[in-house]
Amino acid sequence: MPAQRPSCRRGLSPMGKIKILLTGGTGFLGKQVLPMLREFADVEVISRSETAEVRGDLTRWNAGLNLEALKKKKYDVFIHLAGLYDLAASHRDAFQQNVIATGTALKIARELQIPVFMNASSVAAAVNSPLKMVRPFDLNFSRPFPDPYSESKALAEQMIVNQSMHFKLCINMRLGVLVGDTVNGKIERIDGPYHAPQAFERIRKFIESFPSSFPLPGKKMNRLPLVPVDKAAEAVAGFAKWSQATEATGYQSFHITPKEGLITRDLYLKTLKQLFIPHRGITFVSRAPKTLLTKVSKWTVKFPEEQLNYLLMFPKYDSVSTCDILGEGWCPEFDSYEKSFWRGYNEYISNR
Amino acid sequence: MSTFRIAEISFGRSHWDDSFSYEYVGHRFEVQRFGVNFSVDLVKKLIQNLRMDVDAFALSSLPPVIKLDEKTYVHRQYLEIMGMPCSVPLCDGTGLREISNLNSMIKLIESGKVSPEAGVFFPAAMLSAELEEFLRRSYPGKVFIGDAYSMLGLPLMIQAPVPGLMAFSKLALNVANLKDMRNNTPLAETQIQKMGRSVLASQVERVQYVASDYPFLLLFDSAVEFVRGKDLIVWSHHPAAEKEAQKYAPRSVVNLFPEEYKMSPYMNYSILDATLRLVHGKTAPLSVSEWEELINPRPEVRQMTRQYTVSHRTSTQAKISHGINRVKNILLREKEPDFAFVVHALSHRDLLRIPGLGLLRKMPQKFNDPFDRLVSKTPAIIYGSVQHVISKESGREVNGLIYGLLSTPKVLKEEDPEVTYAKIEKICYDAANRGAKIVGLGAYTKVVGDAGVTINRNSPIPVTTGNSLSASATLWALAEVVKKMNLVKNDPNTGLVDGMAMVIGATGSIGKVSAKLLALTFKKVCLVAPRQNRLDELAAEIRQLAPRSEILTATDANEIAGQADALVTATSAFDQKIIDVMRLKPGCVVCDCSRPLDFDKEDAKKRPDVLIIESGEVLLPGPAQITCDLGLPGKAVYACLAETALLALEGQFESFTMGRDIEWNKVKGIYKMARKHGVELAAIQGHMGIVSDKEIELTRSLALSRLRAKSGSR
Repeated sequence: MPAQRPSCRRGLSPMGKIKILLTGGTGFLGKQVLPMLREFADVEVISRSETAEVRGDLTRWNAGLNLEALKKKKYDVFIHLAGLYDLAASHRDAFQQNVIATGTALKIARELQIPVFMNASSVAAAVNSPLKMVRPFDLNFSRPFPDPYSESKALAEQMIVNQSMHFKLCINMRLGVLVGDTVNGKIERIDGPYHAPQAFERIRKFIESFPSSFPLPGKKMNRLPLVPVDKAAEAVAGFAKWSQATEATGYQSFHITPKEGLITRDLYLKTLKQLFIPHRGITFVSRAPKTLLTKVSKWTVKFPEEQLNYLLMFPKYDSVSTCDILGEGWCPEFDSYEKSFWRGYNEYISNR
Repeated sequence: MSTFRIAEISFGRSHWDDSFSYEYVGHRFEVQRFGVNFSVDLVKKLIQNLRMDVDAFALSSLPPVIKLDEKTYVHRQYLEIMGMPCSVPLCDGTGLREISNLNSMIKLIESGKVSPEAGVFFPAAMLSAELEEFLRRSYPGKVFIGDAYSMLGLPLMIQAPVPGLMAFSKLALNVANLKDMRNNTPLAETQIQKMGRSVLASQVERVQYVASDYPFLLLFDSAVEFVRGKDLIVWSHHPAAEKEAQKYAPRSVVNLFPEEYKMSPYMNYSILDATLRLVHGKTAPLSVSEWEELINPRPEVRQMTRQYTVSHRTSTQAKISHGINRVKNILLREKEPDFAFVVHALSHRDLLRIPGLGLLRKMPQKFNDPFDRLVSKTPAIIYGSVQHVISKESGREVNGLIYGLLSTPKVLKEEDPEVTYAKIEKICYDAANRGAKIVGLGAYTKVVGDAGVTINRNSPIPVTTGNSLSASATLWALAEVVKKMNLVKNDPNTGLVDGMAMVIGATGSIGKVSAKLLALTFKKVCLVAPRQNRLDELAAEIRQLAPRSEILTATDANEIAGQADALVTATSAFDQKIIDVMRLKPGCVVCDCSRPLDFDKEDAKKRPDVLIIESGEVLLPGPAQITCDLGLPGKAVYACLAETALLALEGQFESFTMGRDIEWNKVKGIYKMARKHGVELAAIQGHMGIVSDKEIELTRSLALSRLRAKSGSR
């Protein structure tokens, strides 16, 4: 059967706005994306909640939607942000919410003949890439994955690649590690770099009294791809706009990561400073086996193994193509939003 | 054109997930593939989530069913998946694959398109044992097997037949059974296996054919040197997989999948199995001969393939698998019950069914009663469970426990009610501790003493007698029988039944409810009760409720009984005939709700042209399983049990029905609830047990002839 590509149509609504169908509109990222999309588009959200414009559940057949009726609305873009972000999730949950739900999202977008499909993935999908500078298209299935989360994200990407001929354009966005926004840094849970202050707080006395420079896991110059959530949302909205203007077709993948990223050493030093912990410098332990490092960190400071796993091995992510579209300075580096980062963290801690 | 939905669950990788649709003999089929990456948990979760939305599941790439040496070997995980409770068929295409593949292979050999003399290599012969066995026997020495490599990681290629191959295969199958599927595949990438790959490729050089289906072949990823330049034999169609396999540079691809069933570019035996079953309206797996009917091979081919596809015995391995699963189910999966239900032994004979007590069958009859009394002193037992009751509307699943009191009705009647209360209260506490949120009382346990009020007061969780649904189901049964008798017509203008219904004991609680219900469906309703003033009150109330029907009242039933087409009796008249059965109209349907009954067996014998029913039993929604014998045929359960289950499904944990009275609103409410969740009427209970359709037909013809005789004599 020849693959039928829906013709590119400018199905503009009376107001001249494009029409977007969105999943995951209630999540950490989705909440920020939604108002930005609404500035230039008519957005309808698929969600389980009663107040949603389109009520549906991606774990059900066709998400429980009436596709015939929805087809008449002629959406221009499908944005799939829904997913499970939990590095410690079970195989079953990760696959159900990341792989199977993506399959259903693709099916819905195909049935509704939406020309553009956008997907939010994660840099974790490329965890098996052997390259030092990971490219946005890299996927490697020949090695076992460290956790079900990364495997599910990688498989979802592969599935989109395999089905991309049914769309005019598929945009895959691999998000870096999301942190609080640049204005007040609000967060909803402790995750990623926020584990560092938690861990230091637990051994504050020990660090204070340690006679020499304190040993910490990780490579000194490793970089963490931190992205403030409002900037990530701007990027998603930016790509949605770009999808309507560009001549590009087929499968396109991008890293939503900062150009440089935060150096691990800086994260540790800034955290110690922020917590007012006096110390005699830090030293990095990277030669020891990774399993030993993660286990020791888990036993001593309850640092989640799977989180540290990533902190220890982040490579660099190629975001040149992203900058071409969104502009050079689209993602600020950590220093420029450090204040709001700590404000959000402190607020979360005090309200807990 | 009807549309069928098929969810294909592939045990393999999810790379190849896709969705598509096709048409076959006037039906449209909508298929979506879900890859689960070897997770049994995820398969179960998917089946649970989708079983309300789809018409069939096509399970592909499952751990295989292997027929070897006329015995069947099945993997433990296969049994676990296929044993999932599901109201739609689970199709894995096993029987179909065996017959169809052999059939195609024989055709290809005859037409010279495949010549196995050049050697055939099976990377995993286990997955297509019938094909391998057929070729091995027809071309000795030309078949090579790579199972040692693909299953155990040893870079060996076995040239079959070798002595001891069968023993080795059986051993491998038994070992494989203990491991989860994933660890048996080349996906578990050890260094040894990686080295072995190139060794294997060099061994395969002199063989021309490689037989392996796409899903398994693609598990080897880029390490499929052994396909380069060979003729690849496969038996499924998948555009993306075909494209991927081209990268391995086979010389050609031979597809054994029958061309006439390639309705879509994406097709495999599991989907074909589901399609054929849906089109032919079969839910159970098809037998070899049924598949042969559908595929229709030539008789001599049929003869030839039979020896490879029919197995006579279950292997020890399969038995062990069953055992492991059963133990696992007991240890790990005892579900927290949502509700509990209490029944009791219905007769002395029921007690003798307890293991060990069967020896007492020959006991002199005079000891029966003392024995029953003695046994009733023992505490209640857990008699069985009701599992997988799934709402049609919400998809919610509930499970229940059934407790058995070892007391016969006679003992319960004689015993001090307080003793029975205490026993049932104990059950309530036990059920609450196990997680149940509501208890239902069955049979005589809800009649004892004050009919549940005391029990409910002392129980930690709500108790219901289930009488609301019992009443509702009984009237439901009455309506059903009247419809089946087909003697009275519906008035096309009002939609009401053009006949008369009569309620004796209309002012009692059951009578009131019945009268109101009947007034909604019958054109004429006659209320009978001893006191006229109360009758008038009721009649006024009903006229308001059902203004379209005509309400009559009478204090003596016998005068007017000859006109009634349907009769409900709900009296409590001991040893007194309320109505003479000989006065009833031929073809009248009598619903006897009185306890003790108003009509006895003698009455029924006197009037074979009148149908007397007692109550209606119902079917629970979903693939409900009842693990014990309730004395009802098939999957039918008592309506009172169904009420308890319905309350649990609805999350309405309250003592819905209590005491001897029932309320109109509740009867109406529970009936709506029953229809919403998918409860169906199963069987109609008469004086002599279940009333069959045949019996109804017989009564109808007798009634018709009597009516004719009557009008003739006039």
